[in-house]
Amino acid sequence: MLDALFNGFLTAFEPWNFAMIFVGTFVGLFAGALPGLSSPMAIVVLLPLTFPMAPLPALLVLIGVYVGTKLGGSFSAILLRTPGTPGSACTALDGFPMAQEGKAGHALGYATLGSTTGGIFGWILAIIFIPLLSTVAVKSGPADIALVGIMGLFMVSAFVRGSMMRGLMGVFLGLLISTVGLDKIDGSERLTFGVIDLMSGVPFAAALTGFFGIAVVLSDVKLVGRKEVLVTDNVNLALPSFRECTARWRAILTGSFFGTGIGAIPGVGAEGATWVAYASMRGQSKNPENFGKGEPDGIVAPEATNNATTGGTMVPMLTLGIPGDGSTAVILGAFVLHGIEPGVMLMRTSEDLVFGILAGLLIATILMFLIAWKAIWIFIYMLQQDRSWLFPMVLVLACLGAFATMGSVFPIYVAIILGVVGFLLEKAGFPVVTIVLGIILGPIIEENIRLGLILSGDQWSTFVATWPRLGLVSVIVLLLAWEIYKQLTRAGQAEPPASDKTTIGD
Amino acid sequence: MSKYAYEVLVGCAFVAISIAAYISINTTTGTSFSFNEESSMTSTTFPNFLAIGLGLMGAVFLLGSIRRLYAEGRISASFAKLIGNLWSRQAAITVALVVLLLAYANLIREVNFGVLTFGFLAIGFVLFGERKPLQICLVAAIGAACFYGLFVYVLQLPLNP
Repeated sequence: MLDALFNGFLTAFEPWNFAMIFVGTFVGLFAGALPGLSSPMAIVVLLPLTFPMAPLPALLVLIGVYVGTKLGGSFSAILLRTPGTPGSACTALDGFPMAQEGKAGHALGYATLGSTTGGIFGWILAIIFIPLLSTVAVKSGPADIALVGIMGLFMVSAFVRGSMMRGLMGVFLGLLISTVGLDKIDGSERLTFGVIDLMSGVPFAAALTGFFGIAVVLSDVKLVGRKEVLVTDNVNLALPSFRECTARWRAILTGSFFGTGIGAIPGVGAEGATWVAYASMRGQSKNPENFGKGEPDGIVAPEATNNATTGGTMVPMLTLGIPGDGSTAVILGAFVLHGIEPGVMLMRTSEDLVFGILAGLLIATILMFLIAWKAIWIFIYMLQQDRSWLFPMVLVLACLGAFATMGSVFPIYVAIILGVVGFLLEKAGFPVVTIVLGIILGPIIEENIRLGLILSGDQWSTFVATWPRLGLVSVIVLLLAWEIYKQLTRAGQAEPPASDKTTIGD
Repeated sequence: MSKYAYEVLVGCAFVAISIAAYISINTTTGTSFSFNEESSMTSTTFPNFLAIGLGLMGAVFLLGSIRRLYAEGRISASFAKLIGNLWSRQAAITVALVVLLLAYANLIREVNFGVLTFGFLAIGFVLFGERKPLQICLVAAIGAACFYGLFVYVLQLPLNP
């Protein structure tokens, strides 16, 4: 494994690959810093530009964006009290009060420290667990793969914001969209409604562009005319001293473990993990009353969690083909668009690529630190600019990205329709990310259920024939039972309506 | 309050989608090689299951939304507020953006790509609140030129040069 990792670093350090990581990380910091732009959106917009590239540099750009947005989101959280990404919402609790006290540079320094160390810890844990899990994963049969996919979708529905019911409805809609087109096994036509362009299915890149690009811009219309005023004009990043860094070890470790552990659960994402880590850190603190008033640990812990999720989400993505959040869903889509089949066989068929990506993840984390350290003024300047210039450009990129996938106008129409659908559903509190995960995992689940049945002589009992499968089915049943119990105990109480906050894809 | 009315409409949409999907799956007369006919899972099983499942969940969601709407006790006011929201400035900009996108998609093969993108960007900037004509034209021209270079020359997309 060490040889493969070493080779991964050698490949990632090749000039072109390294340049792509740098570009991706820079764009990620930029997209994260600006409220209204999200990580999946930035990845979707960059995706068509990667089509002419080889798979590794293409994926490295996207990994760079993914890592960069995590820290970028804290800039606006600290300076505006408006988190650039949902994962940075927790950082605003202590970051903004610290900035109000005239210590904005220190708050940004703590955020950078937390993000970098968390990212590195998350990477170390990912490096340990990915080979272990993939060794188990390659021994799985079609029934196991189908059950893992179904369990992933149930977990996403259970842990994503809002109720599990809404999550499951999104998943079912996504799965239904994934069945459009000619059936891969018997060639029969499904849900095409006579549209010839739909014979090959709903264009995947167009769906991503619609849900994560156009829907986000339509949701950002509410930002029209809003001018951002920073809490202070004088901002210079002040990194904590070495002694201060070591004094924050508890916050770093707490954040890193929560980030990697919870980040590895599909659907929970960074947002849920940061709140858990923050609560835990406050519980451990000797001065819990300082939290919410500019406590450094209240910045370091959530930021460490936020970036540690980048390692955590890589574990299910690279070993099982199950994305942990919206951004990894798009990255998984990029695998498919570049002709690589994600899933349990990925480590066996594309080991070089996997270790190249993992090496890129660490390099991106270090570059993120260096860029923030030396060039934070660029992002702070951009933060104060009007975003009205940006959104129409994003729409052009989204349209052309969809066009580029097939060289025809049809995917643009698909992207526009799904963008409007995503926008309307998100307004009603349906997490769009569940639809996208349904679209990604749908073909994998259906194909493997059918293969499992063929191999077992049409015996449905094959799905509970072994202990691991029984375990997976038990998790699914428990999640369902939990949701039914919640619904029954809540019967008669009014469900709170969906929030106005737009968090598409995160 | 209007959120519950909105949820009723979304619930109706989910039920309608599932019914349309169910009918489409079971009435399509496309080509089928009838492979593995004796299997308990054919090409229609999975989408049928999904359509039925989505329909049931949509119905439960719809009934819950209607119940909450009735609990509010001001149903007509709720729908009136929802319709009123459609005439807000924000809704108007959203609709205008969608129309602009559809026009862009429709004309992308017909009109010169640079000119079309310039027009799209300029109108987009105005919709997003910019009001300085010279600045709008300048940024739109630079943006269009960059996109032209990137997509026509670098990515070599079959666009109208």
